[in-house]
Amino acid sequence: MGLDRLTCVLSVVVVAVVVAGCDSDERPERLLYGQPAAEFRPVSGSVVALGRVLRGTTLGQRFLLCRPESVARDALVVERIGVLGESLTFVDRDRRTVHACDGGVDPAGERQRPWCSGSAGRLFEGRLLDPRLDIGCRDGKGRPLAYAWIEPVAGARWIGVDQGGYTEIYEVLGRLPVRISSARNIDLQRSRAAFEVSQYGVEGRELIRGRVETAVAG
Amino acid sequence: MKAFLVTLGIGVVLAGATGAQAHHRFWARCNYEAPTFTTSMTRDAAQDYANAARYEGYQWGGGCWNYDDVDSYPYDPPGDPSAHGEGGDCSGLTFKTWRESNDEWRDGRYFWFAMRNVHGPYTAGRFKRGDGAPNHVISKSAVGVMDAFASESHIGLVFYRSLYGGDQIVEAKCESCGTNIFYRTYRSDPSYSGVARWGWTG
Amino acid sequence: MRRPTTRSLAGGAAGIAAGILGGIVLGSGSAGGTASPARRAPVEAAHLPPLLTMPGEPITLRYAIVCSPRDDGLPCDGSGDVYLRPGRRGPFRRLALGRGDEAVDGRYFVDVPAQIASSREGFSYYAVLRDEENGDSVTVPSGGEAAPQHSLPLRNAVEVRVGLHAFGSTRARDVRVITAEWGSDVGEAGVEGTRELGFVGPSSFDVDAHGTVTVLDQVNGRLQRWARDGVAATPVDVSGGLADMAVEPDGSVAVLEPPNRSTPAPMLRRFDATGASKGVQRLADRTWAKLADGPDGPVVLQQPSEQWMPAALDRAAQARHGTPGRPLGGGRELLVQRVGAGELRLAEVAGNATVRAWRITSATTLGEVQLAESLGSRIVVVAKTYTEDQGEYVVLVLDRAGVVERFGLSAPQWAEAAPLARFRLAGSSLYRLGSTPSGVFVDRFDLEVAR
Repeated sequence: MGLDRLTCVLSVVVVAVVVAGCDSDERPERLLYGQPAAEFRPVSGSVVALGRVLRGTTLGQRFLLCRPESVARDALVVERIGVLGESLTFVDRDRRTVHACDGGVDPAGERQRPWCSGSAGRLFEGRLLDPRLDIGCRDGKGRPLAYAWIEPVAGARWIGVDQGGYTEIYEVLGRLPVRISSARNIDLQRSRAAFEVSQYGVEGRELIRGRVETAVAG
Repeated sequence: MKAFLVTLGIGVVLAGATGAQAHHRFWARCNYEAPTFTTSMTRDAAQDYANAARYEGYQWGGGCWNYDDVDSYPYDPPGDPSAHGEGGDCSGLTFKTWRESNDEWRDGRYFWFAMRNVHGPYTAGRFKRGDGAPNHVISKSAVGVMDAFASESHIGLVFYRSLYGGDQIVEAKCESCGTNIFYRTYRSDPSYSGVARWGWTG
Repeated sequence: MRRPTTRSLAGGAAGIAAGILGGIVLGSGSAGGTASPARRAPVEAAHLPPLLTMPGEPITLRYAIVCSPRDDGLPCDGSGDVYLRPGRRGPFRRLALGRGDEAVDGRYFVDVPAQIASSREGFSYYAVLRDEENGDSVTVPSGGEAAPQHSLPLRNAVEVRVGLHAFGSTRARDVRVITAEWGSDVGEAGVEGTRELGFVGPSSFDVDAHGTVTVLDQVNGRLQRWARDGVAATPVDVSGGLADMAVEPDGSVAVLEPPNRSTPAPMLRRFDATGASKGVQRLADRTWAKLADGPDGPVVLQQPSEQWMPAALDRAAQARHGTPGRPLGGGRELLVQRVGAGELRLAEVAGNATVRAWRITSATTLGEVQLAESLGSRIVVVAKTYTEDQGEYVVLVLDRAGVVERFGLSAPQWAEAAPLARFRLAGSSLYRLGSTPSGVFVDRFDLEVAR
């Protein structure tokens, strides 16, 4: 093998190694369970997470696995399935506390999928004061996942979360805060995570954009 | 020389007025050093640790404290982790008292000095469910010294049982309450569960 | 203005750099290092006294000694002595505390010698506990030799077996005496919500002989009185924490406040009927459970002493006058002790003599005792009973033969109140403080007893 060809081969190898070591920056085609990933037209390259509003009795065991006693079996539940994460959001009978079931792998090996952890947040005048960060879950590759609630601003219909190579879009549903997830900007040692969040109106006009810094607390 | 002295003063003022400095407040004095792995963890050593956190304040998402019996930032906005004030919150105090690891799958004993700024991955609600290798749910009637009662939004450690059937609870209760020992009836409250730490050595 | 020279410009730049560096070094002031900052915390203690013992029951006195945390994570190097004597008179005998392997009930212990434990007059004792590292000591109870703890044998106790509690079969109220929606107008009650406290509403109440209900509306900084002719509000200077309250016979009000960030010790505040302050007194001990109106003024059950102390006195005097039972007047006391998971022991005593006693056992776990009060020849007891996810109150009216009346009450507790301030007995009626998402209320339950 001549030197030139060897150089060429080495270059290809180096490129391959570099590419293999990096996360893909491409827009994913599929969501967590293989559903095709729709795009939110106003945000180029975005992925729309599935969002459904269902009764707990419709979800059946999927809801019962993580339902607290204070929540009715037929509670209204917002189910979300994204690229990496999945969640359920619902309130208790008194509408005092909003709960979440957060999906992924439990690093302690105590809980079976889909739900590895959960959160609860007190509602004050119908709104959360704290995003209730949860970093107790891992994705299928063992990477930390962060979950948090975002309160929609007035007029917001869609919440976007920058995931690096794409923006994951969540629809505001059920008059509840929106449970988002991300694998970026997580500091496990300091129990903190940061989300790059944008909010859009019904027509897709961007209303607000900013960094939401969260910490495990309470 | 005159120019040097004048600008020296300006430089000192500039250093003191940096936004980053003001933002970090008490946390600027805390550290992020590794915990000390210990083979021993007794309930009375835990009582010593939790008792020493009394009067040191309360910080949502915290934290760290310095044993001077004074809350350095007593009027911080409640529920704001960015305030970076002194003290832990209820779950942070429990995490540190129970010598837990940031890695949920570890159940070893990790001693955190008071000035080590750490909260841990557990909220009160997660403690209540017994999440994490070190934690488990126990019957409320069996809860003893340095076990805990946890609801979805709060956790307090049993300092000692008490005569009329309630408990002396050491807890980081709230911004205005601070961290202290209070008499509580969490044991019989349906919204609370019993929680314990694996691995006491005495 | 003169043009700056190169030299002065260089000097200025150097000055700014040096100043910034110096300011950063001065301002960082980190505690640094891995060791805890130096601090000598006063030694603390905890002890659960065996106030009422069954004849023949072996008695072990256990103590927790709590000191400054050690950097090696090991427990306190403590020691102590217990001073014991049979009855309430005579010299004390000193016994050194042993050190056990477990701290779950208190690491330091002493077995009460059989001849003292079996004394018909019971025994009295106090302990001096030490931090061997620095020599600090604490005495429990706080009054030491002047007001030792007393333990009495529970003789001739009426056995009351409550059995399993039937949750959901609760008695309906006879009268809803007051209802107050959440708010700040007169006739409304304040509620504050934080994620840490949950929701806090009126923390205590009292009822006088005329049926006037006084509610401590601490969120709104006032007392409110509901009488036959309407409701009136009286501003009082309180901290807003979860406080207990008692109305004294002359219309004064005692408010017992927990520590907070600005007042790190519990305080008793007294107000006259107009709300003017009659004084503030810090408690002798670090923690309180309950406030009651005693024959000589307000009394408070305090920890770690686990004694009732006259809280209007100065701290040293409080400790010197501590008693194991709630003072009833005429030298009598009411002793209450929760034992194990489902037992409650009660005794009315006069000196060393037991006037009447009951031993209540429940198959359902018992929680805290909310109320234990005389009602003529009877006694009314309200205790919480609970499972992992249910909690109700069981009300017992007892006489020398046993149970005269028994019923269950729900525990409507949407907002938090003081821990043992949910019930009051006035006349032959039991009053309960409750709350819902819409407001606070006081219900009355008339007890079917003839005096």
